[in-house]
Amino acid sequence: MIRRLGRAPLTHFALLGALLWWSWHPAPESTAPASDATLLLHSARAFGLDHTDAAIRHRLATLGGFVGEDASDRTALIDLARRLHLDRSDLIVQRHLTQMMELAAAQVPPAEYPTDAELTRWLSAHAAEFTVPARMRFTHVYLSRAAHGARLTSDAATILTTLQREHVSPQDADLPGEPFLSGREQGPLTRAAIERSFGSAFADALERAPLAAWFGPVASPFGLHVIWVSERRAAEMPSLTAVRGRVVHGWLHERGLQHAAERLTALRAH
Amino acid sequence: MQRWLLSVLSVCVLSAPAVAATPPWARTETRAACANSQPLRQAFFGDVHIHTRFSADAYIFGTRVGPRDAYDFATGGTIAVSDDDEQQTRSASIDRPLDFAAVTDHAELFGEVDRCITPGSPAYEVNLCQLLRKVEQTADEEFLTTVSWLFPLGIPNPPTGLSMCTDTPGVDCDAAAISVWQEMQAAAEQFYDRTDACRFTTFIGYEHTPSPLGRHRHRNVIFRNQHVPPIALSHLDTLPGGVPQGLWNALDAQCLQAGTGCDAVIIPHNSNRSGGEQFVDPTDAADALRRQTFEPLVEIHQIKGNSECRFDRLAGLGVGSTDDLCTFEQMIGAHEGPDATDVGVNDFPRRNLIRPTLEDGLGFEQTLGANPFRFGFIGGTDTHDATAGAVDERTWIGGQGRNDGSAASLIGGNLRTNPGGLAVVWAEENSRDAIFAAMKRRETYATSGTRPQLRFFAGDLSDVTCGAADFLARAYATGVAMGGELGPLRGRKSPRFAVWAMKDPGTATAPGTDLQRLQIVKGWVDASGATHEEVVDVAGDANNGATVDPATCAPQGLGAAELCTVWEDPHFDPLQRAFYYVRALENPSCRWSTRVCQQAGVDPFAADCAAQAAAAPAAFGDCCLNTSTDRFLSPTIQERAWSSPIWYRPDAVARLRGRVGFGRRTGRDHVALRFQLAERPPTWDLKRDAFTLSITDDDTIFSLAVPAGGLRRHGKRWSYKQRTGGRVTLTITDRPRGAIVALAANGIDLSNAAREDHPVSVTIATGVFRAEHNRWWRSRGAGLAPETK
Repeated sequence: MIRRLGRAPLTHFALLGALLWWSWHPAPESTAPASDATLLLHSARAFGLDHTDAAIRHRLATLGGFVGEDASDRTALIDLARRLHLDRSDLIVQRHLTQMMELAAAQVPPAEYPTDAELTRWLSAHAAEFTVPARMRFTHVYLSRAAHGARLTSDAATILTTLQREHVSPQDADLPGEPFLSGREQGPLTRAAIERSFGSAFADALERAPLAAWFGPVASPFGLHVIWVSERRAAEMPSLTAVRGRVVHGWLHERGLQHAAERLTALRAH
Repeated sequence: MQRWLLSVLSVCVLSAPAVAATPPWARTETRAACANSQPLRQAFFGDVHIHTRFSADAYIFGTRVGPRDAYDFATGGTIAVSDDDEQQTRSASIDRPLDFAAVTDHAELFGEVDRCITPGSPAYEVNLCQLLRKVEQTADEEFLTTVSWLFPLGIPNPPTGLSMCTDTPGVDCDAAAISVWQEMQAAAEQFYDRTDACRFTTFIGYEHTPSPLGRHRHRNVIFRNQHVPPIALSHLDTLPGGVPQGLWNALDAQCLQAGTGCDAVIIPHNSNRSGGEQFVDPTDAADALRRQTFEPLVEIHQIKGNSECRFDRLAGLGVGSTDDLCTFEQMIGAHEGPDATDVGVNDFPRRNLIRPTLEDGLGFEQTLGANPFRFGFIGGTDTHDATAGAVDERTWIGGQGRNDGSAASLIGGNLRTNPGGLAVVWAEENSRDAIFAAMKRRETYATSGTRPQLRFFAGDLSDVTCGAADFLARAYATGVAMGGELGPLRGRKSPRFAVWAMKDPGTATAPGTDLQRLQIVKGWVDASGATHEEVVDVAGDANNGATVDPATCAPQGLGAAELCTVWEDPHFDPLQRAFYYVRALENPSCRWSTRVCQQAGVDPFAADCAAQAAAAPAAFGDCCLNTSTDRFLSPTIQERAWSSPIWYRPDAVARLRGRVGFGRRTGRDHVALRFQLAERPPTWDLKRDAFTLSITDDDTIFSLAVPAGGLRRHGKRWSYKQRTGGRVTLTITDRPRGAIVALAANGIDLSNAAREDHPVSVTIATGVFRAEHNRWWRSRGAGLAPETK
């Protein structure tokens, strides 16, 4: 119950009295090295962001309104909140200022924008992240456990033999078996996607399936399947053009983190 | 007629449509088509309700990971999670990555520094902005370093010469870069797979979060593509316009009408905590229609409880319901906050719950002519840990940072929360356009966290049979899928409802649970305006004896790997508005809290549970609550899925016959349509209102707009003739109750139509009345035609 109350937005306002008390009796300055968050917070205040940012002003007006008498004068409410040091003590104000500066710290100057050559190198360095795993396309003849009951295994064996002996095409509209909810034709799918739909044993078995031949039966949580793998695509590395958006944002993010670290170090040195 | 000829004709009529490739949506993005595209659609599992450190409450809870971490998590990565002391000592991952996700941080207090660079904005002349703009000339000024940090990407001189600014989807160099909103867009782009592998789709979104006195009127806004408004329109921005109308107005102006390619859906959620204020009465028919248009979906299940319905097992009462399965994952209070007291069933707000709200929507449609509450269903997490899609009861560690920072915190403080659910869409491929289109047409369903697959159709379906190879093709050709609307059938008989579900296959280490049964939930409104509901078991066995091993939580007893049935409503009344949705129930499994309590040495199944609890830390005192002692909690649960409803409307398009014919030369095409409205809509005024009729697939094939006053009356017949761009004649004939609409157009250009079997929509609109007929049309000779059922 206490924790639930603690999460409730209204509780935050109800605790305003405590905050006010705290703001009038601020804790002594710490002598420990300032954290990154503290440095960013101080920078934001030094820059005046706490006076100009619209979100902060709204927050302070809300807090001021909680104790103010004239709720119509927004500037007065903000001033009241500041006199009560709520701009220093409110966690949401602190969070916002910190995050805005954090984002700012990670900005990459336009002069540093990457060339295509740099993006290509970055893509190569992150090949594992971008490589599309091997995929396969297959047709499956599904025999449901419920429909075949005790005959499931023997029926599957018979169907496999018939399909092989009569060289039945996987495109044949009259393939035997039951319909499958997600369809008879599947893919191209990665192994992970096959596993999510049919289970891991099924995905394992498909790794061993021959190309363009009836194979099986293969078990899934739903029953047995006779498989025809019609296409195997090897794992492939996409071109920069195909993944440019992801690469650009990945590059910018990585470079931004470097900048943020450098700027914090510089700030700490001051 | 010769028997052989009859046979040939019957084959022509009844054979399944050939599978085609044209989906009923246009591609709005620069991206590769997905290699895995299925015209009869496939299920994609996702979570479009995720909070990260950019949400003020999540930050307060100790969450320090951001949107990129959330997307990494959704694709299988591991992220840090706060403990009781806000230290990032815990970690989490999911064993089944999601197909799609949207980070939806609270837009409130995102920050507005970006407005500094917008001439004319209120913030433009403030000191901060002046500093920003002159920073390049003030290299030695105080705070130089800090100020330079605030210089956004390419502002004020966007480097448009760089290829990344002109060629890269999602990189908008004309916008300000320093804002949380920009960071969220960048994160979404970084994880969106635009290759033909289509492994993961992200959506840009945010949460709009008004909570007057703790009454949640929260909505997620999900955008179709990278074209989004310049700021995330929070409730602080939209409050003057009202809730939710202010949001609709703002999105209309800054997205839908902006001419940028922007489109969005709004998804209300957590109505169970809204104090009855989430779904308020529409002010008028236009207001009802706007809600139906802007808000096609509702989130029915999430961490903070289920919103479908409510039943108190100890009182033996429900909120307008006798459905005892509505004890599932209920929170206690009807809203949040210190004043949120325990509310009995009789005082629990009806509009906190989605089923009664849908019933009320039918009533509004009957009186106003428009249904404000025509919601499809999705599930979500509402995680505040960035743990997208972490919904496994077996491994859940909470979703609210330090509030759930340990087993003791989770059990002691948040026992009635749950892992939340998933959103599932039936889409052709895993891309933004395909999934967004599925959301708009409501071909979606919700799960309580597991991954069963669920199909639901209604219509004539006279040749749709479980076990038939052409089940899906026939169902799409002669009926509507979940989320659609249906008019009367020939003979005013009951529609047939086809339901097909397959169990969650699970994983190697955690096999999925068998299905127990399928239910159809019907709600309707009678002629007096009174609402009713009924829950019918249509497949499976409620008494299959399946349970769990209390020592291990392993399932005991069998259910079904799949269930399928075609059902007719024995109480169907063609004059009554109704909705039908499916609830698919799994066999019992252990609730998350059962495992956590057992690990703490308090076994909810044990006869001496109370003694165990007494010996354990106080936080675990509620571990022994069960069906005898608690209104809602149980050591076991039945995971479930909810299909979006299908709406039966007496005044919907019915018995549509038609043909689109392609001439040998451009401009020589023709179209003929004839359909019924069995009931005249209550707001129908052909003399006063404009009338539009359109035929669409991924493009507009044909569109006719009759201006207000354009229809001429001749006795019981209304007609409109147009002689520009071909010869077009529309006639509407009044019948004793309804009307017959006929269209003949010759010498027109229908080159936008795909010439293959594919989904086609016929839509009519007049005043606040809207009706839509969605079926697969077949390519026949030099034309297209729907099946005449």
